[in-house]
Formats: sequence, structure tokens, C-alpha cells
Amino acid sequence: MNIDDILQEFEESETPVTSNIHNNLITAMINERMSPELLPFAQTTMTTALTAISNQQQYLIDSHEYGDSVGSTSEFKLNTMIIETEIERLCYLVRMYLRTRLSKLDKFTIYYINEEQEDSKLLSAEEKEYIHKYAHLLTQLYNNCFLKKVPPSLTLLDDTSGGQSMITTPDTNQHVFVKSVTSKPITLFIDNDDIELKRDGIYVVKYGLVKQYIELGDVILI
Amino acid sequence: MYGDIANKLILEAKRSVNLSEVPLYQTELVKDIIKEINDLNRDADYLTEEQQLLQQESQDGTEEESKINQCQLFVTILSMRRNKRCLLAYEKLRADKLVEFSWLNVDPIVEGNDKQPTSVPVDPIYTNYTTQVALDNLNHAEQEFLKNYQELLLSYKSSFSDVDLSGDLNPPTNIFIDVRVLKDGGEVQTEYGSFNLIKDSQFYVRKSDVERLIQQGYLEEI
Repeated sequence: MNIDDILQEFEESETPVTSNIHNNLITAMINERMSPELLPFAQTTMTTALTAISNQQQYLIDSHEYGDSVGSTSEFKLNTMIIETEIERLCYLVRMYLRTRLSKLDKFTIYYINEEQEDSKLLSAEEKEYIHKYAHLLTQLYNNCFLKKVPPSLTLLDDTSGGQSMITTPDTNQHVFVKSVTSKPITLFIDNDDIELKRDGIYVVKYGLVKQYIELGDVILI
Repeated sequence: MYGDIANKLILEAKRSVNLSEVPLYQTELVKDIIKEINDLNRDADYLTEEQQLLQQESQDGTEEESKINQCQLFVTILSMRRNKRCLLAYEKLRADKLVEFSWLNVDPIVEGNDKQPTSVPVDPIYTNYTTQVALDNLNHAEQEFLKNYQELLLSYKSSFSDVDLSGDLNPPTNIFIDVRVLKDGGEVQTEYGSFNLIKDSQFYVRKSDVERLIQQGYLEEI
């Protein structure tokens, strides 16, 4: 290992720290939007983003309250406008991220209830509450509409007998566009073939193959 | 033919996928399907008994009969399961539409109220989107579901108070936009002063202030 390697490694370890909330949030949002299944909840990114939003909003409120003396200058107006745009954008990213997750939860409700463990990082606390209540509401709806009137053998909602599973599961064989962001080449094995993902290269692969690298952050979806 | 009624129901569901409203609940069809399921269930019970009797006799001559019987039983059970799946699919579609609608912050239409139904937002993102719900078209369980789901949403949203989760899903561009008033309404107060909703008048306002009004069909972005 020569000095260049060490420098490069240092730079790499530096990137996640310096990259701002925006980039993290955008990556999280796009990854979530493009992957066929739910990804672990980006707790730290979300917390920082939400703090940033409320900080900015607090700043706006403060400057409205105390800013009367300078309030008429155009510089102040420009400032507020930039901050407001910033808030709008952050809000949009957060909104998109959370709603994408919810739409997946709606789609694969029973699957994720079965997947979920107490300490798992897949769902946030709010999402856990949401998915349980949602499942409860749906079951209630089905029961009231018709299930209570049919023979008991048919009332199950998570029946897997009869060769057909009633639980909708995400399709991990779906193809996704990925981009490698790590300098170490990643080798994927497909049957007897293998492909190497190089840094900044863009590939189309089955989601299941790159799943673990997405969770590590070595590969991003685009 | 078994399954014919269920097929009708599925066609009805398919037709309504792209509608902007939830069509009338097919009480009769659903009732007929439940009746068919119960009939089939009685058939299945009878056939199982028959099967046991045949097995007890277990003579050479009955073997063919036993096979015929098994086949009948199999088809009966399959038809029952298919009917159930059709019912579930129908109800899930309606539930999904109600969920979609719940995100819009628009009040459902109550029949007997002589108010004109709110006009559908013209935003392209809302095509194929459930934008109106007439409470009269829902059965009791669905009304209950809608109410409970809206409560669930509210509790989920309240944990992200800074972000309006049901806001626009288009990326924000300008914070100030031109809007045209589509129908009369009262006075609207914003941080930047107030304006009156008079039909065909135009305003230059902050987008986040009027988002709700656009969704409710009072304003249109130009």
C-alpha cells in the first residue's frame, strides 16, 4: 500500500461526513423509489433532515419577528426566499420518501408484518404503528363486507395452501438500473457468468443480486 | 357456470380502475357470489361424504366413480377459492381508491347536499387518481374504513408536523405562483396579506399557502 492508496482511502472515508443532507436524502429517496422492495429506514438521514427543516423554519419565524427593522430591504427578502425554497425542496424530498415507503407498505402489508421483528431497522416506529393499524382496518373491512358470510375454511387472509400464496411479496427479480459508487470493483455472479461493477459504471441487473450492496451504500439505484 | 358472477364483478372493478371516483358498491353481485360460495361449500361437504362412503366400499367398480368424485370435489373447491379471490380483489381495489382519496384532503361528497361536486384538479398528476368520493356509493363497512383510515393518516402525519405529507408530488419549482380562482369562496389569510376568492380573478401567491385550495378545486395554477 503506497501513500496514494492511503490518501484515497482517507478521501473515501471523508465523503459521507461532508456530503450534505440534500445528497443523502436524494439518494435515500431515489433508492427507495426505484427498488421493488422496502429498504431499511434511513433513520439518521431523516432525523437530520427533519431537524434541518425545523431549524430553518424557526429561523424564518425569528427573522419575521425581529426583522422588522431590516424587513424592507431587498436583501432580506432574497434571503427569506432562498430559505423558503430550501425548505420546500427538503419537504418535497421527505414527502416523496415517506410516501413511497407507505405505498409499498400498503401493497405488501401482510408480507412486511411477517418480516418485521422487534429490533429490525426496516421500519420506523411510525411505520410499524401504521402498518399494524392498516392491516387491522383492511381485515375489518373484508370481514364486514363478505368474509363473515363465507365458510370458515375460506376466511383466512394469509392462506398459502392450495398451491397459491395469498401474500403478495415484492418481486426481487425485477431489473433495476444501478450505479457503482465505490472504488472497489464488485463482482456479481449470475449462473456461470460474472460481471464486474466498476466505479461510476451504470448497469442493469436484477435487484436481488445487488440488494446487499445497496444496503451497504456501495451501489446506488438510479 | 360457476365463477360467472365473480367475473362480472372483476370486469366492474377493472372498469373503475381509472375512474376518478369510487363507483356504486355492487351489493347484489357480492351477495350472489357469497350465495354461490355457500352453495359450493355445501356441494363440497356432500362430495366429501360421498368420497368417504366410496372409500369404505372400495371395490373395483367404484374406483372410477371415486375418481369422478374427486375431480368434482377439486373443481368445486377451486371455484370457491376463485370466488373468494375475486371478492378480495374487488374490495382491495375500492379500499386502495379510498386510501388514495384520503391523501387529498378533500371532503367526501354527501348526497342531499345541493353543493356542486368539487371539480377535479386539472393537474396531470391527478389523471387516474381518485379525486371524488360520494359517501352514498360506499357500503357501511367502507364508510367506516374511510373514516378510520383518515384518522390513521392524521396520526401518522402528526409525527412529521413540519412536512405537509399530502402536498404536491411534483418537484417544487417556484415558491410563488400565479393562480386563477375557479369558484367563489371567502377571504384567505396568508403571511403576505389576504385576498378574496372571487371567480376568475388572479393572484400571485406563495404556493405552499394555496396548495390546499388547489387540491380542493378553488384555484387553478396558470
